[in-house]
Amino acid sequence: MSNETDPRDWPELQTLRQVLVEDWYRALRPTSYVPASAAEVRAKLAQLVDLALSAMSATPFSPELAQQVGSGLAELHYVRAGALGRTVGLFGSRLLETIPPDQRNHYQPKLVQLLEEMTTGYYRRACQIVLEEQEAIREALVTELRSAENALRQAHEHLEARVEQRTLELAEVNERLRAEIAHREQATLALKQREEQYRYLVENISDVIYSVGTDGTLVYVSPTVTEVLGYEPDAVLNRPFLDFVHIDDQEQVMQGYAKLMSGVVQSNEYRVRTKGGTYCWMRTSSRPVFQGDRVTGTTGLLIDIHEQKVAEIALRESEERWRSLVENAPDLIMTLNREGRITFLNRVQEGAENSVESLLGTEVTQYLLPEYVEPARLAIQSVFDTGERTLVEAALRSSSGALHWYSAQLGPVRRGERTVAVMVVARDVTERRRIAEMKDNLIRDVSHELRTPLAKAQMSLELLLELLDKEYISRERASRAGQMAFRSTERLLRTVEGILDLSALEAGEGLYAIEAIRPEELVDEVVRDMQPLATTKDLVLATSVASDLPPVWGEWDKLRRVLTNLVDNAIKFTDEGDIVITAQARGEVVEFAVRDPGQGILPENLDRIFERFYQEKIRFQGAGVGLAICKAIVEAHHGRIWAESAGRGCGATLRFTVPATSEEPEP
Amino acid sequence: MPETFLIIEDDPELQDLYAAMLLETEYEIIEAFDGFDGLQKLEENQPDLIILDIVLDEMMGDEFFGRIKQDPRYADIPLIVVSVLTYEQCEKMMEVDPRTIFLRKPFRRQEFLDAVERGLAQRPVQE
Repeated sequence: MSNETDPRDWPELQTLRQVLVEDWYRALRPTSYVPASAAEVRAKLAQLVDLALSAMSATPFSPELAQQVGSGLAELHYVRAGALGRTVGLFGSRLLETIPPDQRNHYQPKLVQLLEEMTTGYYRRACQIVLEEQEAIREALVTELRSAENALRQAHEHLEARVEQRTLELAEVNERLRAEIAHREQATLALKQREEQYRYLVENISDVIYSVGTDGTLVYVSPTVTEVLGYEPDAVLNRPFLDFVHIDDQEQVMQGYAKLMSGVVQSNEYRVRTKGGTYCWMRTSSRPVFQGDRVTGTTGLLIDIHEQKVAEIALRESEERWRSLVENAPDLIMTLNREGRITFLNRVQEGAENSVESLLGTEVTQYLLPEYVEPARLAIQSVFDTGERTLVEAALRSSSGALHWYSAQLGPVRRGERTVAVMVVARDVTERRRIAEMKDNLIRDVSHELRTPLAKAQMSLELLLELLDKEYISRERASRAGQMAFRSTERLLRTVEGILDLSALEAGEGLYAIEAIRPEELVDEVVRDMQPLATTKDLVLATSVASDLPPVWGEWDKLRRVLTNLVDNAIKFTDEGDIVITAQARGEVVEFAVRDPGQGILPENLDRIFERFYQEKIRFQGAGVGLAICKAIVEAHHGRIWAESAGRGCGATLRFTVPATSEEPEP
Repeated sequence: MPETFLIIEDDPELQDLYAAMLLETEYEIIEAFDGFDGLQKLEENQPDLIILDIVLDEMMGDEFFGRIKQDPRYADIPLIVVSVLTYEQCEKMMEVDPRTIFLRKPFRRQEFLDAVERGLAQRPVQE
């Protein structure tokens, strides 16, 4: 009868397997040296449990399977009797508890057998592992031994190589020493040869070699002295060196000699007398001769530089002449390179802040006013391109802000066929331009001044003629036209006389017919003359002249012209009111004044109205050349003329002074 | 309706003379004695022609000329420049356009009348 069940069908088996695995794992853990992870160990243990159960259930009982379980356990932990007892014992007791009671008889013997075989398997495997480990240790030892042996051998070989190397080095040193000795012998030989060469050179050189003792006498002169200076060596030996030096150069030579004797190498240039009595420029280069620390003399070379020196002096003199010519030239002289940069400049314009140095290397066109930059560039370019001279005008503003005009001549600086630079000679034509402009203005102003009354006279005369042609003449209109023509010609005449006066006074012809003049008489006459003109504008000419005024010293016609001019202007600028003419004593002068309530004068024009000719544009009508004439006449009388006005619309007063005199006027 | 002239001339005698020259015509004259005066009169009137002297006391003719040429209200008014200066001298002082009529003093009555005719012919056609 076989009612026994396979242990793998036991109901508690699943629980048992887990318990067995955990038991073994716990027993193994403290002793395990297995490098596997916990999960791996548990998986392995589960396999072993299954294997053990298979061994139990197998019929007939398989001792091989049981032994495999033992050997598996041995592989899982290090060989230890205690560990084995715990694992096998635990396994047995757990399994025994699990066997169902009715099947104990059947399975107990199998269990005992299983445990025995497991133990056997364990020991067998454990022994094997120990043997394997021992073998591994032995092999490791052998390997270690071998490598030690190798190291030893290598060290030995290295030692031998070093000994060999050292031997070689020694041999080399030996060889070098030998070579050096040979070389020295050769050098001595070469030295000897060179000494001979030097001696040959000294005897045959075209320059003179000399030695001078501490007392300044020549102790050695090479034979070439005859060729260079004409003396036999014997004729100069033991004579003072200075005897042969040009008198003007002696001081310089002595200074050089003193330095030389203090041990400094010297080079010098001076004139030496030849046997024929002429002087020859020589260069010496001397060095002191030492005996220990002591200077025992000098030795040097005397080189004939006469031709070179004469040429050099001539060149320097010519250059100095040229330089002084350029530097003192009234024009700016410069050279420009291809880029238009200044490479030479003789000087800067007067009053300029820039130095010549600061301008060198800068572009010349940058200083010009913008409109002249391009023409200047083109002119420079054209000189480089064609090699031909050209003329260009340019203006620039100086650092003070003044405008300067230059007329510049550009020409090529040639090297061979090539133009290497442009030479510029620039002349300041500012003054010339100003004078030309002034002349233009003068002609314009004077012609305006003369033409205005002439035009009026002519036009009114034409009108008069037309009126006369008519059947019914308007007397009033004809008379007006006639008066206008008359007044215009009168003014024209005054202007012409005034201009003649002015040119005579400016030419320094001075006054003539000077006499003592009573101021009140002068004022009366002018008022009488000008009254008709004032009447045409319904103006009143009032006078205020002190009765006890001293006479003035002057020319009647000219002073009358000044006062007339001032009254004429006052009438012209006044539309209504009184024009007041006064004369009063002011110390040693009499001051005349013409005051009008007319248009007035702008403050900035108070001085300028007397300088009509110097204005850029016509700005003052009527006053015309008249005031310039007045000024010239008053100044010729050593007086002063000026204008006063509070501004536009405020009227004006023109005043002038004439020196008083104690002389009585002729009746 | 008679044409109106603005005559800018600082010399009252010449103003009188121009008036006399135009006596037998139908024209009406507005007098101005300098540039400021001229501009003032322009504000008040719309002349058909301007007769302008150059050398004046306050605001010269050239400045007056420059101002009206830049003012669209007046730029097209025909203009006769009368001066003792030469044409070249005037040209240096102001930007004379081809329409500007130039008359150098002295001139004859007939020349003046011709210039006035030419000036009036420049006016844009009305209607």
